[in-house]
Amino acid sequence: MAAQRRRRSGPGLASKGLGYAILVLAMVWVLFPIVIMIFNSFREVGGTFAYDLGHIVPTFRNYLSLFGLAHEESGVIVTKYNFVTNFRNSIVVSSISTIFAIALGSLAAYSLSRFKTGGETLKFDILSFRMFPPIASAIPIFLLMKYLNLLNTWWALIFAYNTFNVPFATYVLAGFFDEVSTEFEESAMVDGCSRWQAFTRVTIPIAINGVIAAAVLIFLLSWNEFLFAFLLTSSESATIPVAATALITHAGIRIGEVSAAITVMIIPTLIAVFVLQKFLVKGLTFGAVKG
Amino acid sequence: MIAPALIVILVVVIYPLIYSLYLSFNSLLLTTPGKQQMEWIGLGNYIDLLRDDLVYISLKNTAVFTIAAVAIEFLVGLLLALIVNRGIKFDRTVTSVLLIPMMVASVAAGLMWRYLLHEQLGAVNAVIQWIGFSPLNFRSDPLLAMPTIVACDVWQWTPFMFLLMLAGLQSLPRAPFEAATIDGASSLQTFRHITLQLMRPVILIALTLRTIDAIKTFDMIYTLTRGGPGTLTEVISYYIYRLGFWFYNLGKASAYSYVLLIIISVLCYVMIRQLRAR
Repeated sequence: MAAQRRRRSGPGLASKGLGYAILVLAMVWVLFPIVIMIFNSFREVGGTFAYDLGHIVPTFRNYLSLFGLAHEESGVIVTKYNFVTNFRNSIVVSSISTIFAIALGSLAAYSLSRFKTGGETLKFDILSFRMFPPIASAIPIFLLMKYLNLLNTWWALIFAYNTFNVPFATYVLAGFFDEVSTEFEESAMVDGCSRWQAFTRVTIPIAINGVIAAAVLIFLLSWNEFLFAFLLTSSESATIPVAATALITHAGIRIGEVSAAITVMIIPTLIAVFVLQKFLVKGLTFGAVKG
Repeated sequence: MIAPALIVILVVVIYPLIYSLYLSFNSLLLTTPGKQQMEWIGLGNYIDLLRDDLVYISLKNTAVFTIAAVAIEFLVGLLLALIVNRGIKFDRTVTSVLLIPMMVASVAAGLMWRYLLHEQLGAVNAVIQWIGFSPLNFRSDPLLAMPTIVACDVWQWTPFMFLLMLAGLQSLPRAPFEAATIDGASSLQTFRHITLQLMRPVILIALTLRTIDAIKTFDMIYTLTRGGPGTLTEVISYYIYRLGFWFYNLGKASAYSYVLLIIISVLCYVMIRQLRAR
C-alpha cells in the first residue's frame, strides 16, 4: 500500500536527488567552455596565460584590438584587426538573407497550408532539401559565383544561404500558419478583403510570433554559417565565423582575441535562447513531433 | 503563391545539384591555367574514387564518428528529457541553459574547445597538471583525436536530442500510463513497453536527423583537427573540401559529393519506410 502510494505520488526522494545532480552536472558541462572563453576574452594578452586567479587584471584590450581601437602602449604589441568590417558583413548578409527567406517562405508556406499545394509530399520534398550536404552544392555555387564575378561579395553568400533558408522558412512557417484558424480569413474575405489582403492583414498578424521566431532562427542559421562563407569570401568580405577561424593561423596563439571574437559571435545566440525560448523550441521541433 | 519560392528553390538548390551531377562526369582541374575547360570522362571520377584509399578511410572515420556521437547524444538526451519531464523546479531556465550549445555556431563551439583543450594554455590541461599528471595533446594524439571530436559534437548536439525527446514525452497521451499503473506495472516495464513504444516515431526522426547532420560534419573538423593527426579524423565532407579546394579537382569532388548525397538519401528512405511500417 505504501509502496503503491509512493509510486503514484511521483519518484522517490533519492531518485529525485539523483535527477537534480545529473541536471547540475549537465549544466556545468554546457556552461564550462563558455564561461572559460568569456573569462579569457577579458584577460591581458601579454600575460603569461597561466590560470593563476590571483593575478588577473580584467581588460577590454582584446575587444578594442579586435575592432581596431587599441592604442599602442610601451612594451605591449597591439595587433589591429578589421573586425568591424567582418561584423558589418555578418549583419548585412544575415539580415538580407533572412528577409528573402521570410518573404519567399511565407508565400510558399501559406500556399502549402491553405491550398494544400502538392499535398503532404511537396512539403516533405521541400524539407528534404535541408538534408542535402552543403559541400555538395558548394562546388557548383562556387563556380557560378566565380563565373558571375560575385566571389567575395555579400551577394554570393545571400544567394548561397537561400539554399537552406528558404526550404527551412517554408516548412516552419507552414506549421505556424496551420495553427491559424481559417475562419478569420474567411470572415475577412466575406467582408470584402482579397485573398492577399486576408493573408497580409489577418493571417500574418495572428501568426506574428511564429513569423518572428522563424526569422530569428533563420538569422542565427545565417549568422552561424561557416562552410559557404569560408569558400565564397575572404578577408575583406568575410563574416565573423570565417574571420574568427582565420585568427588561429595568422596570429599564432591569440587566445584573448579569438575568445573576444567568439564572444561577439555568440552574444545574439545567448540573447535569443533566453528571450525567445518557447518559440524557438516550437520552431525547432515542428514536424518531428507531429510526424 | 508558391511559385516565387519554388523558382528560388529551383535556381539555388536544384540547379547546383544538376550541375554538380554533370560535373561529376567531367574532368575539371583548376590547377593548370591553360587547361580549365571541362572534358567528359564518363564514370572516370567514380572509378578514381573506388581506387582512392582516402575514400575508404574517410567513410570509415565518418561511420565511427557518427555512430559514437549519435548514440551518446541519444542516450544522454533521453535521460535528461526524462528527468525534466517528470517535473523539476526552474524547468524553463534549465531548458534554456541546456539548449545553448545547439544554437551556438559550430565554429564557435570548435574554437572554444580548441582553446579549452590546448596543450600549454588550455584550462583542461591546467587542471590535469594541477592534479599532477602530464598535459594531454587532445587534438594531436592518435588515440585522443577522434574521442575529442566526438566529445565536442556531443557537447553541441545533445541539446537537440534532449529537445526532441522532451517534446515527444510531453505529447504522449496519459491513458496508457494510467492503465499500466492500475495493472501494477513496474516503472521499468512502463518505460520499456509504453514510453519507448509510443516514442518510436519521434526517436526514429531524431536519430535520422542527427545521423544525417553528423555525416555532413565539416566545421568541427576544420576548427579542431583539420582531418589530423594524419588522416585519423578525415571525414567525408572534409575530404570533399580538400579534393575541391586544395587539389582543385572539382570533378572528383563532385563525384564524391554525389556519393555522399546517395548515402544520405538511402538513410532518409529507410527512415520513412520504418515510420510507415507502423
